[in-house]
Amino acid sequence: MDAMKDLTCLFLTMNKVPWMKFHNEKMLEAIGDYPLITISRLPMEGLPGIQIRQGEEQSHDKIFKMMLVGAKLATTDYIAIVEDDMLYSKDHFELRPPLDTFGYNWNRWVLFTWGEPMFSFKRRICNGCSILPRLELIDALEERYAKWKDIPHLLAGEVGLERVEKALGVKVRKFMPMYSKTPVVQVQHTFGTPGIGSPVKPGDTTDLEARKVRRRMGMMRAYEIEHWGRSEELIKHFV
Amino acid sequence: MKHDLTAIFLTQNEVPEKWAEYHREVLLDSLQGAPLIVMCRKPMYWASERGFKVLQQDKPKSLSNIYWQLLRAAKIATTEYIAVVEDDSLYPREHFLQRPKKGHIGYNMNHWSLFTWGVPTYSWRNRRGNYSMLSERLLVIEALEERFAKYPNGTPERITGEIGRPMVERNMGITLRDVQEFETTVSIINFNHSNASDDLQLRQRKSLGEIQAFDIPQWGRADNLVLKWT
Repeated sequence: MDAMKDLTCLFLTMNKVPWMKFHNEKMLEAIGDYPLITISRLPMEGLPGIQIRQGEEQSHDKIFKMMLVGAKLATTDYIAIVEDDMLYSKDHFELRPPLDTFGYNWNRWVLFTWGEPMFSFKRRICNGCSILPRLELIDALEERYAKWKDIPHLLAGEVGLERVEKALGVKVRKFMPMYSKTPVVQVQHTFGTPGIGSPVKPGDTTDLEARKVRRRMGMMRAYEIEHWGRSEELIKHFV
Repeated sequence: MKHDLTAIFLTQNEVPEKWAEYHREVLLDSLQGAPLIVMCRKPMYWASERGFKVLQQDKPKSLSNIYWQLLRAAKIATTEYIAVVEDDSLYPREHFLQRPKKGHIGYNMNHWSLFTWGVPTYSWRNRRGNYSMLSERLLVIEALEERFAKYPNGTPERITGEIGRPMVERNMGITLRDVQEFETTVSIINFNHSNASDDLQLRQRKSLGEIQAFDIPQWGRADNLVLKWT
């Protein structure tokens, strides 16, 4: 099958990041001719494909609700989630897990907008790196929302992540790590959904906003990587 | 200072001379006075002069021999923990400060491979390597004695591998060991070269790991560090 016909890029944005122009240029280079569905809070000029609006609420729960909306609108076998703080490579969109398995690209470097500019790497999955079989995604999200009207912040998480699905009391789906030849880069910043960061422990009163800067770098670190160059140069687009 | 960890240095003395000097400098700095046992083919005066135990390897070069020498050294050591040191790997100080959970074989997963051929690139694969093993000494002895009780003439080359790798232990028909993976903030560097025991390295057919970088903290640029291999 023509790969271009079997995957839709689903771009989710709250239009809060100041680097949107740079991001969109890089995004359009990477997605090439793949169909694009954008779900944004504000109109997005210069983007091809379908655009639909989302409201002001910013939450993890809403991200997954918007994913379900986008997945139902698309018609391809796969959905690739595109986020406004991720820089993608062309070959990221060529990854394909089996149709019953959620795929996550592990070749992801994280670049913090605070502290010494340095790429860091962790062995963990993230929504913005996912390549998801569409029907399996719809099935998984509909199962979640049949059980939960709104998913509480601490229970929301990626499809296929066993810990999340067990906590939600839904079917544990298959997931697999994949590696694109060229890495993708995730920017760690303070414009995102409140509440990211370390899981809340009993007695921890840190508020959800403050949690945004509580994230820790991965232990594997680099100053220069393939395609994206040096961290101190790339970070200039985000600070 | 009382040390509770002994480093076990495994070498065939086949690495380039200047590299061996550089490796020694880095190792002695990283050990911070911790005891060292050297399992080698040729005399290693720098080690014996410093009071480290130096033993000749007593079996031919093979994958099985690596674990045999590790077992011999682990039995000589007296500390609670041991850490493998290989002659093609560079270790940060903090590696030797790690202590995995009791009953678990520990592996430092912050390791970059650097090939001595091709474009100098650090690369990482999600795999446990013997060079990054740091564990309770008695647990290592128990695991290796089990291997060599079952294979008294040495473990078969095609199934020999790290303690705590399920595929290896399943293929050998021995106990699957619990593992704790940990990560230091500074990486271990493992050189891939044509003097290694691994056939893929010998033939320079090994492929880079999926995660790649050119410049990293402490060790610097890959194209500079690879020049040390001379």
